Amino acid sequence: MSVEIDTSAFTEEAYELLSELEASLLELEESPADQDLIGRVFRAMHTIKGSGAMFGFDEVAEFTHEVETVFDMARNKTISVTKPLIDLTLAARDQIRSMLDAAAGGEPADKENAQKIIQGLRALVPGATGAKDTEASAKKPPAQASDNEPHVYRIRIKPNADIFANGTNPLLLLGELRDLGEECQIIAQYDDLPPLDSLDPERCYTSWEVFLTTKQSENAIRDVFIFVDDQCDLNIRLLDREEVLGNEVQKLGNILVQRGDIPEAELEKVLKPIGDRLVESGAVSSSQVKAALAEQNAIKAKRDKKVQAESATSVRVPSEKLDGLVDLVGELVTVQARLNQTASSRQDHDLQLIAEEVERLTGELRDNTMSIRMLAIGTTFNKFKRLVRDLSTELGKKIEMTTEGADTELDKTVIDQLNDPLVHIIRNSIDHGIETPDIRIANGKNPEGLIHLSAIHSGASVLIRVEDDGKGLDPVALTRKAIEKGHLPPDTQLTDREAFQLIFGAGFSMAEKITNVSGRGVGMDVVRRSIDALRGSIDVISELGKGTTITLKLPLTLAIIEGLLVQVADELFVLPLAAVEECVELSRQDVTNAHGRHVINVRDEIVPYIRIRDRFGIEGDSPEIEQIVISDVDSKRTGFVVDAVIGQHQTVIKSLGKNFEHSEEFSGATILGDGTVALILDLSKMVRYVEAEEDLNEPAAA
Amino acid sequence: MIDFSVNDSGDTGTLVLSGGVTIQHAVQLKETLLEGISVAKRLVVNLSDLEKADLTAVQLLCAAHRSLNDKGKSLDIEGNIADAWHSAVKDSGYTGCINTNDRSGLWTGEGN
Amino acid sequence: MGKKIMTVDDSSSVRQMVGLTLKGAGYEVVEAVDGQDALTKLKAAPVDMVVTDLNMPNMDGITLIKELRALPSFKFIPIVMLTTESQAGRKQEGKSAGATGWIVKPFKPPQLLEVIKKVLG
Repeated sequence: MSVEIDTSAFTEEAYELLSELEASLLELEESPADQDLIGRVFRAMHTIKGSGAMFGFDEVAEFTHEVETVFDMARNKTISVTKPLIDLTLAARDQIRSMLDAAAGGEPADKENAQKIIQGLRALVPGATGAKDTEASAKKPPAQASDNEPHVYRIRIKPNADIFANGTNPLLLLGELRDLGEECQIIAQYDDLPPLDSLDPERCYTSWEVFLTTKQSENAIRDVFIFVDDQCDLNIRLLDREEVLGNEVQKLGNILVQRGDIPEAELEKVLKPIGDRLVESGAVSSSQVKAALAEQNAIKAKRDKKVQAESATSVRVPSEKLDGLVDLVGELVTVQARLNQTASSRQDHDLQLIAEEVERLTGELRDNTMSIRMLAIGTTFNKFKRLVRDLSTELGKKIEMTTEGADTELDKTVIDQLNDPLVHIIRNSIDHGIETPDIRIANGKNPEGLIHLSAIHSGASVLIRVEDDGKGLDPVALTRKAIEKGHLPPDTQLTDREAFQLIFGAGFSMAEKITNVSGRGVGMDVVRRSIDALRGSIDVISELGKGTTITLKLPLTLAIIEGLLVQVADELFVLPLAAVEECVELSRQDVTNAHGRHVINVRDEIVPYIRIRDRFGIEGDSPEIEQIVISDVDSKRTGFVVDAVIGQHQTVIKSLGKNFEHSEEFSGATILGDGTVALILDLSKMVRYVEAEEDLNEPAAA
Repeated sequence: MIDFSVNDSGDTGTLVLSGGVTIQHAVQLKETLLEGISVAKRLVVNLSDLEKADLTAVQLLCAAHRSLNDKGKSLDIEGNIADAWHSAVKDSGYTGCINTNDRSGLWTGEGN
Repeated sequence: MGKKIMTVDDSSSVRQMVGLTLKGAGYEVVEAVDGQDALTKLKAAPVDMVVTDLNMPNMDGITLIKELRALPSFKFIPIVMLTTESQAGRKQEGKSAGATGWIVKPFKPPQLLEVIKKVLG
């Protein structure tokens, strides 16, 4: 056992629990009678309190205890869940957070605020408090396992007859039980087994009674049946050790009860807990027993927690460690490519075999590492529920937020950087999009506004949508405003779509008055920049009076790109494979046929192309037959002319560094096996630039 | 694999269970057992090449054994009983399907 | 001969992670990229167990489970679904469709093997 306690495990868990708590509370506000939710809230606080105390966060533990106490009453239906209770509990949640922040070196938490919250909570409780604790402990079952000593459990399992239909093999479960303990006796009950001719061979007619001697807790036993808890009756009882081990009467008694020969109550009378017997014999007083029981309960609670932590399905590591790992994997991929190249140039068969093996392992390592970084976006979504609630209250609007696709997974880096842009977008929707209830009613809308947040995978991208049913954007007003502000030359004509993009201009705000929420003219341009930095794109659709939908298209991961490696003279470039549709040849004849226009006929479709050679002023003559890589760029087919297509290349992206951050036609670079650098082309930016230049040069050209 | 044959005199049926006999084969096993019980006076079971049995097989053989017993017919074992059967019986807790008159050794968990 | 397990996931990295873990533990692994692909492949060559994601294009995991349970050779095999914490409802949906159990993502290889052992033996 290590003496030094690493508290970060606790704080990280606590932060997570706090966001869960918040989400549950907000849900609870919607359905205040939902016992499951109340249970969830209670458990989250219970865990924070328990582990807080274990890790020396006494202040957190004490405060949480007060909150938990009140919520326990809600759980026991002594008080009902009301808005004040939820408001106070939310405030308490924030208070716990600031206590944790303070412990991590942040500003000290406001103690008066804590007192206020506690007083507020206590005020919700009818009559005096205090008698409740003993009441609660009296309800708990008397006999509980204590540590280290093996105990005997009687486990009754009665599977549903159709349990096989879910692919469950009950014998494996029994085997697992057997593995839990030192001694295990499995007795099948098959009195229900019908005669062969009326037996359905695919149904289960057997139930079991298992006597298991183990040091494990009841939870560990229940965990065995985690997949079938709704498909079988499970009854676990801790039998007193002394009464069972080597005691034939107990076994006989059980058998009698099983066979229905004597009612269980009778047996219970004979087999009283040891505590009662000691009291009867005068060895100890009943209060001593109670105290001992309380102690036992406490130990049990502690151990349950430990078991839970052990059986948790994830391992927490600081994200820097993960980033470090990704960097290393990136280096490894580069070195591996070099190894491959060296091996093939040496013509050494053995070395080639090793190189192939290394290649395979590196690939798997890379994919594994990447998959570890994938997180569901749900947590981020949940944060916004609170945001929407608080902001809409502040602005006197009624807004319901719905989400979809919370389990959509994205690279952690993308998720982290997505938070701020989404906050801005949602704030804007709440502030400018959704109207106040009276205006909505006047316009024949439901007084309650809707914000729908969704995430969906689309190829190698994720589409994140923020939809509102607010007043929508007015393209005419936007254009006028941009012209007034001098962002656009007077008399500019824009399509609706182009006009909507104006909201992402720097210093552009449509707010008539500046509110707390938004309207300072900062925000949406930040959104654009953040999304650009994520190699994503933004699309806005809006209908005046109906609402606005902002769609963010983001790559699944920033670290890797599947590319097509191409060559122009001595230069190498990488095109994102996701966009590539096909490669066709371009002969001199084709060029002549097109009469100087940069288009080619691909199966009766005219596809414009860009010559990489000309674009970057690469010297030298192009080969007789060039290759055109036809790609899908912003939903338009566009060709990119290169000398040769080398092949598919999965590559770790290296940033170009500060000096080149304005070379927007490149999204990064990659290092090839031989150490050569290849630039990664940003196709859509390239097309945009070329189009802009063409518009200037030959406005009349078709 | 489930294989059933009746000898020339028609009084003894032999059931050979080999490889895996699990729920996938349960319907077939039931039909075979029913046939075996109805046609022959004596059912001989060979489990020497059994590699895997599950609860459905145990349930079926138990029910069959009881039926035979009720009808005054006998169930006999041919060859060794593979460990796979013994562990299926033990794992499922079926020790003692036929409490009395079990000459077969199917339910005693012997050899394990 | 090891038992054969099919892993169904539209994410190639998850497939690879599952595949690698299972191969390492001595299982034979076949892969499918979505429910439709899985169904086609499974009809051609059955397996001992299926590990499937729920959210997939073409055919999602729930539909796949239902389709498989309707086929005689997959009526009773273990089918484990991959879920995320936020999918409590989906877990229930999957169970009623006929799933044997679930694994919560993200998971580590030992947890995957634990579940495989639990349902496949």
